[in-house]
Amino acid sequence: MSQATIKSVNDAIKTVRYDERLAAIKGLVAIFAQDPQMLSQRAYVKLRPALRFLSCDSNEDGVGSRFMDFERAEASRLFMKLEMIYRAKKALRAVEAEELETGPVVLPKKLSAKEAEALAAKEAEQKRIAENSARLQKIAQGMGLKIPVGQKEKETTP
Amino acid sequence: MNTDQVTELQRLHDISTGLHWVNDGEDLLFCCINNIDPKDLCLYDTESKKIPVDRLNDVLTLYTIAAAASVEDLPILAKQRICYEACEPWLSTVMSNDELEKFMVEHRLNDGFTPGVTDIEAALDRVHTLYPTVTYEMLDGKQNESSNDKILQVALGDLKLNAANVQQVYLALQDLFSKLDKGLEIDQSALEIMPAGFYGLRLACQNYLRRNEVKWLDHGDLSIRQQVVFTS
Repeated sequence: MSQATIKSVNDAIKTVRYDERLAAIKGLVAIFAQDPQMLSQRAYVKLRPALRFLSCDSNEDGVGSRFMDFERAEASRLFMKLEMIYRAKKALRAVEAEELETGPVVLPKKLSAKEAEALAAKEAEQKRIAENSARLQKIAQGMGLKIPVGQKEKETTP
Repeated sequence: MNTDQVTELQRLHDISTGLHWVNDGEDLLFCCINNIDPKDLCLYDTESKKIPVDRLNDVLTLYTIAAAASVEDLPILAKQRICYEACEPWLSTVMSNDELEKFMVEHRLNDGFTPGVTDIEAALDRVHTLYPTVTYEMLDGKQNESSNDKILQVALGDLKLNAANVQQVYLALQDLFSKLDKGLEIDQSALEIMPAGFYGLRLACQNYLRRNEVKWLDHGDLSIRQQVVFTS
């Protein structure tokens, strides 16, 4: 987090006019949305209450921006967006930390229904083969036979 | 033998030579090693019925089980079908010829024959010396039971005349037939070159076993064609 960004955040939240403050914060949030890594914890804890304040209605609880409904709605949207950016950044951090420990994380590819069916059939087939092998071996052992171990000489599939 | 073994051997018997026998060798192997009911064979296409190469050990195990089972549990014809018709063609595509031959010699079909119980060539000599001309009429029928017994006792020498020993003589005759038949052309038969006394001794064995209601044992090395020729 550069000093320049912190300064911009400070300048934005201290802007006197609420509509200008909202516009400044909106510009910052747009920057953070493009690169969530730029959103530092310090910036987040400064921007969050500022947006909270702008989205409140002063007529009800005595504090707030006295904004019109559409402006408060805009502030609420920005607040939600900031939250999402912050979560995205945390998730990225977690993935990075995991990668440092265990190597690159490969997310499983989502399978189509046909592929999933084929995979399930393959797994069932392998399970059945393993069961049948075990059954034959158990019978051979029960008859006191030595289980032969063959070595493939030819690589051609019969 | 536990229940699993008995059930499996009965199943192998059933699908190889029994009520639900499978005609095709490849299908038989597929049913044997995958525990498939022959009625369900139509559910599988040709591709899925192919046995992958990595199941070599399973096929070898099946061969071993079928070869080693006693003739009471698995008749010789069932063993021949499983080992020679189902397993051997598949194994020949995966193993080298030397390896396969070595494996088959090591795992000879258990047909109940114990080599060395009788010296069959000496027995045939003795029979021929004492009974040079034996005909079917001389041994057939209830009135000729004693003649059969005399021939068999001559062949057995010091051994006691009983069903087990007669079975061994009969199997030794088949063994000799199989050895002599090995190098012959398809239109030739070992019957023509069998030692004298063979006809009488074979007939005597068959009559004795039939009379005592003992099932004839077939030699594992004889093919069905050879068995037909041997008993003709």
